[in-house]
Amino acid sequence: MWQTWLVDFDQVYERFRLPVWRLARRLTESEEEAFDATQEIFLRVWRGLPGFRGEAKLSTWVFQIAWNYLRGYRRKMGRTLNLVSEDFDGECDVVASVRDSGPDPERRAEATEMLDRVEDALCRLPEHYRVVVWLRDGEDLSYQEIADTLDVPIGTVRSRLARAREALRDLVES
Amino acid sequence: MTDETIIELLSRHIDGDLDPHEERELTTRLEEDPTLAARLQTMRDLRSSVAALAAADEVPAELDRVIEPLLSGRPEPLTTRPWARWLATAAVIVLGATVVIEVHRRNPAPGIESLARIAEEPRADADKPFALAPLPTSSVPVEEQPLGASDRLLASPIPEIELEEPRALEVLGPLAEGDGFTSGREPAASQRDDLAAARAAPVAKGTAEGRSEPPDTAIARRRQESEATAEKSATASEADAAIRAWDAETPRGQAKLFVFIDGKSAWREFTPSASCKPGRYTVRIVVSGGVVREARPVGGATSASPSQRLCAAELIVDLEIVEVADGEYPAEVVVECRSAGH
Repeated sequence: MWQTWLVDFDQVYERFRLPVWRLARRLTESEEEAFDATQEIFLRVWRGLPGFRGEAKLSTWVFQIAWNYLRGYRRKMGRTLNLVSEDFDGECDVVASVRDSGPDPERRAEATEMLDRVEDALCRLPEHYRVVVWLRDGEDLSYQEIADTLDVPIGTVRSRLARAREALRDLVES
Repeated sequence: MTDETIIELLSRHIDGDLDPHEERELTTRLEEDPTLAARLQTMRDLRSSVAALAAADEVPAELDRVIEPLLSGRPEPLTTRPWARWLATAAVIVLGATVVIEVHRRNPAPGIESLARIAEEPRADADKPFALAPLPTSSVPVEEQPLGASDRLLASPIPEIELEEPRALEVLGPLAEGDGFTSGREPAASQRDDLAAARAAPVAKGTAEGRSEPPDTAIARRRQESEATAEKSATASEADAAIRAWDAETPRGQAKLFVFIDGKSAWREFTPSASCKPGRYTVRIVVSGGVVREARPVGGATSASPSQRLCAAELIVDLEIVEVADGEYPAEVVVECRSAGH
C-alpha cells in the first residue's frame, strides 16, 4: 500500500523495462512473443509491488517474476529443451539492428558475424543454460543474485554457468 | 583436476569469483597449458559478445504506450511534487517506522525511565539483524496463471490504488532545544553532543527539503501536514486498527521497531522497561552490511506525564535513505501515550 510510495512502479518500470525486455527476447522466439511477455511481467510487477517489502533486492525480485513467467510460458508452449538443440529454427533476429557500429566496414562485418553466431548459439542453448549466461554476461548479475532469481544454490550457478559457457563456445565454433 | 573443474575455474576466473588459492592454481595451469589460455580468451570473447548483444537491445516504443495505463494508474512520481513528498514523509513519520511499547494497566509504575536508558540495556539479541518478512509470492503456480492478461488490462479500467492516510499525531509538539532533558536523568555530555549533531543533521537524508530546512521548522511543518491529512482520515483508520491489533497480540513490555529504507522494511523486537514516557527522542539508525542493525537513542525523555499506567510508545523514525550504505543515520523518535481505555 503506502510502501509503494517508496518503490514506485514508474521508477521500477523505467529501471527494468530494458532488462526485462532483453530477457523476454532471449527466452521467447519472436519479438511479438517477447512484447506480450514483457507486458505480462510488468503487470505482475505492478500487482506485486504493494506487497514488496524489500526482503530481496528489487532487481532480484523483478527478475524472479520475469523468470517465473517466462519459464511457465515456455512450458505451456512446449519449448523446454533439455539438450542443446541442433535443429533450432526459431527466430533469432534480435541483433539485426545492432550491427552497424564501428568505423571499419571489414571489422564491422566480422563483429556482426560474431554477434550473429553468438545470438544464434544462445538460441540453441537449453533454457537453464541460456538464462544463466544471459543474467551473468548480459545483465551482469552476481552469482548470488542469479541464485536468488533462479532459486538454486550458488554452487549450482557456478557449475551451470561454466557448462553453459562451454556449450555456447561449442555452438559458436561448430 | 578434471576438465570440468578446469572449465569452472576459467569461468569463475573471468567473473572474479576465485579465491587467492584457486587463482594461483589456475595461473600455474595456464602457464603450463597454452590451449587453456586460448580457451580462456574465447570465453572472455563470448562474454563480451553477450554483453554487446545486451547493450545493443532497445525496447520497442510501443511497449511504453502499452504500459502507460499502469503508469497513469499511480500517483504522480513524488519527486515532481514537493508537497507530496512531504506528505509521504509525514506518512513515513506516522506509519513508516513504529515501535509500540505496552505497559499493562495494573503494573505499578516503577518510575520513569528514559527510552535511551531502556535501549541501552543489554539485549540478548543485540547482534541479531532485523528479521525480515517472507517475500510475498503468488499462491497460484506460474504455470497456472492465465496468459494474455495484458489484453484484458488494456480493456479494463485501472483499479483504484488505496493509499493509507497518515494517522494523526496526537502529542507532537515543536522540538525545542530543551526537550529531551526536562525530566528523568540528565544525559551525559556525549549524549548531548550526539543529540545536537543529530538535530543539526538532515532529518530526511537524501531529500533536498531535509537538507535546506532547520529540523525544528521541518518538524513543525510535518506536524501541520500530518494533522491536515489526519483531518481527512476516518476516525478509526486502518493504522489505528493495526496498532490495536498489535497491542493485543504483543506481550507486555515487548516492542517492535520498524524501519523503512530504500523500499525495504525491517523490524526487530526488543524489551523495554515496564514504563514509558511520552516525548521526542533522537536516535541513530546503524546500517551495517546493508542491514539495519541497531536503533541507538542519543537523547533523553521529554515531557512529564509520570504515572502512565497504560502507555504505548511509538518510535517514529523519520528516515529516508536512498541507498542502503553502511553508516549511522540520524532519525527522530516520538513516544506517544494513549488513553487508558485504549
